[in-house]
Amino acid sequence: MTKKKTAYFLSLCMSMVLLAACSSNGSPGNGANPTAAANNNATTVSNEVDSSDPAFSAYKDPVTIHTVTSEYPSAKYPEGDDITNNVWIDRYKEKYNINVVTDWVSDEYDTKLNLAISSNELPDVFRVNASQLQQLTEANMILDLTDVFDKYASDRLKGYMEADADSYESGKKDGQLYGIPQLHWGLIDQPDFMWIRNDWKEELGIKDPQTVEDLKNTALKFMEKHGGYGIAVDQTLDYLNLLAVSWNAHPDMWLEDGSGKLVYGSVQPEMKDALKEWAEWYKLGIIDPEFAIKDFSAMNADVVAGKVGMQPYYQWWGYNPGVDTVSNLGKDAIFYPYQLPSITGGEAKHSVFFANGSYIVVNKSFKNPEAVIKLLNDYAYIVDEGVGKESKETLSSLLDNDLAHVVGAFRVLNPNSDYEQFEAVSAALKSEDTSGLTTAGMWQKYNNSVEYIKNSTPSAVGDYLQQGAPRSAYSLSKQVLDSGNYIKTALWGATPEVLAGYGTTLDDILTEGFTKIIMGAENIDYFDTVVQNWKTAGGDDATEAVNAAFGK
Amino acid sequence: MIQDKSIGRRIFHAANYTILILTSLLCILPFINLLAVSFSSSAAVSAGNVAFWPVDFTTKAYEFALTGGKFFTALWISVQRVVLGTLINLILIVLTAYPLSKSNLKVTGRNVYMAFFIITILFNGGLIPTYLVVVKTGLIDSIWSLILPGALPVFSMIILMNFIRGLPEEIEESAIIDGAGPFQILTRILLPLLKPALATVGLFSIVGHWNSWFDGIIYMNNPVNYPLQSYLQTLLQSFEQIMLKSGTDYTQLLSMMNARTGRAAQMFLGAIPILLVYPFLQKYFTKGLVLGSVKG
Repeated sequence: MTKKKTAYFLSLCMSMVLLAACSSNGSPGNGANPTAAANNNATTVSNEVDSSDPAFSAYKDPVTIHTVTSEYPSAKYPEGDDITNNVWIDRYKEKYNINVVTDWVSDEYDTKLNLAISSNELPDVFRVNASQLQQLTEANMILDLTDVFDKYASDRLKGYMEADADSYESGKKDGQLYGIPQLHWGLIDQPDFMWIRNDWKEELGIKDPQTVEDLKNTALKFMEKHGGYGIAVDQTLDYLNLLAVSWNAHPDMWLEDGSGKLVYGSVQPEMKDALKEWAEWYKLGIIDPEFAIKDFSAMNADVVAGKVGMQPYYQWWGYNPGVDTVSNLGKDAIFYPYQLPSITGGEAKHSVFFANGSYIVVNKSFKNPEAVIKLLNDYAYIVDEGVGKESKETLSSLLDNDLAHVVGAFRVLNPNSDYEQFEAVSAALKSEDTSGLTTAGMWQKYNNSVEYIKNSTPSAVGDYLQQGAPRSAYSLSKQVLDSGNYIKTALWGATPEVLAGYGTTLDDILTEGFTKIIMGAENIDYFDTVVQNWKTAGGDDATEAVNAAFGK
Repeated sequence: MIQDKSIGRRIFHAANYTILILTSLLCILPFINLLAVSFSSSAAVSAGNVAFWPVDFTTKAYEFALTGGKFFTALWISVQRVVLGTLINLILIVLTAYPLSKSNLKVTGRNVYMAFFIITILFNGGLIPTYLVVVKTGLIDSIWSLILPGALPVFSMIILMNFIRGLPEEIEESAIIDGAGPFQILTRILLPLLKPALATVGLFSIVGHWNSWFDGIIYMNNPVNYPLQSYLQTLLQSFEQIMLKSGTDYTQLLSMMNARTGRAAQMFLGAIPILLVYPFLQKYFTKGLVLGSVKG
């Protein structure tokens, strides 16, 4: 009796809570939109100082933009400045007559923005991630920027979009542009390598690995001489998986299976071949026998302590664990990157993942969307064309001390910047002519590389191994990009909700099953069982959703 | 009591002490390790060489956490929050617990009020509705947004309520005979008796206010106004960013510290104030809890 009463009471409470939540979310959202549409085209036309140059013209009457942003912790401001009030904000005001007002600053940007979205307190211009873009577009809360972008974007800015057309497309819905992708430093940071400890390699006179067999033999020789195991990996299999491309497998990536259907790389037969070989390696002691209990820092601890000489790793090995390795073991213990060979001969085809992190969007009620494009043009101009046209002092005050990164939503990156940076740095190091170094980033990489070459300063080894070394990560990545030896993921945009809804469950099933296979607890045919489990647990669902969203 | 010196008794004692000592070691060793890590160089920590004594002693991690004065601003905000928040918590707890400790006969509608409070233990509005309330009431971006949404900790209130019920009713009756009204009974008779229980729930409030970081991050519009734990939390996250996009100025720092040493230093700094307060309140702590629980 009492139980029943309580149940009624509780369900009543629940429904009241739900009702309250619905009404508070619904009403303000409906109210705001009609006024927004009405305000859209009225003003602006005559407010340009020089209407023949819409991309860079200033306004006669000041225009105010409200935005939100996150802190950029390594930026060093002059006395009195901060993220809401700095050289860039001054420049917008002086050069374009645009006032940029920051409503809030948060380091939990996504959380805070989600709250702002649900309470309908959106700023005029802000940056969002791919799934927020999707939500806002569907909720009709942001402006269609197609025409504004066409009319106001500078040729340079349009050039960025051409350079990464896939990301540009991902900002569109039904052919209309809603989010301007902020792009990235370049795909050059994506290829991965086998990093091999140099003093061990030279001491044993081992040649550069050309085949998968060579990798295996190098590891065996290291073990013979130095004991321990051969290759450092961790329990997530993220690092071991970097090697999978050698077997033409592309774990964690959605790709076309040849018949036009999109499939998940981790469950393809190529992955089975890779696992079969890894199980063999594990038996031989090449793969760390304790990998299943090692996390990222435990894996790197063995590298830094000098217990192991090979590690499949990203291009930033030099920063972490490189700095610690060199300061702990001396400069001879430096690791160099090597291209991953393919079992079918030649070099492995690399995996390239979705690279665009955020999009610039404009609130539906904002009247001057073109003001944003002007600021984007300006940023691209300063970064790419500033040298020679602007004074050294101006450029330095805008770009140095990481102030180039404090602009929040008001920039689009040049997707070739890391590529160009690497070319300039390596050319300058070769010719000792520094006239080609045009950006602060180039100078930093160059100076640190020189510092490492001259003094072997451990803290400079990161930049050296990424760009400055004769055998640097980017020199190998450049070959990959130049020869087009990579596959791009088919999932170039927001992860479909169905897939995101599974969280890590699906991947956990695979990681657990693969770990068993590698450790020999199950034989290789268990792979088919794991894949079956993955499919029934939601893999089929997810595949369908991905095909629906990205299939052709 | 006569000392029992039988062999069985001795074995029991030996086992007792061993287990207790091991348990305390289990509690304190991770903390010592944390301290050692925070004072060690990055390379030594990465190589896994640090156990309970710093290797290559350095204070770089602490310098990093303390530079810019932001740490002290945040600390001051936290102190304000703890003092103000705990005070408000205690006042409201006492004012609600006393009437609710009476039966339904003496206080009309007592059970309705009680249900009203209990529901907030079982359900909460959820992140977004709560946020909306804070925004619409204009609390956002002020210290009150950290204090008022949790102004009455119901769980603590129930503890105190049970504590009051555990007191002999005769004390109150005699006060009534002497002419004391309810308010006088509360301030003159009950409050002095409630000290241990107040210390307990006060400690809950202090620790709760001190440790919470998420509300600071979502309710404050500028990191300058973050309380200490929110600031430390963002510092940890931004650290990774600094490590990856290391600017020139940080290369020197990089060689001496890394994310793990920095994290250890911050955790230690964040724990110090609680460590200082705890010993003084601890004696009330268990007493208050147990006393409150005797009478259900």
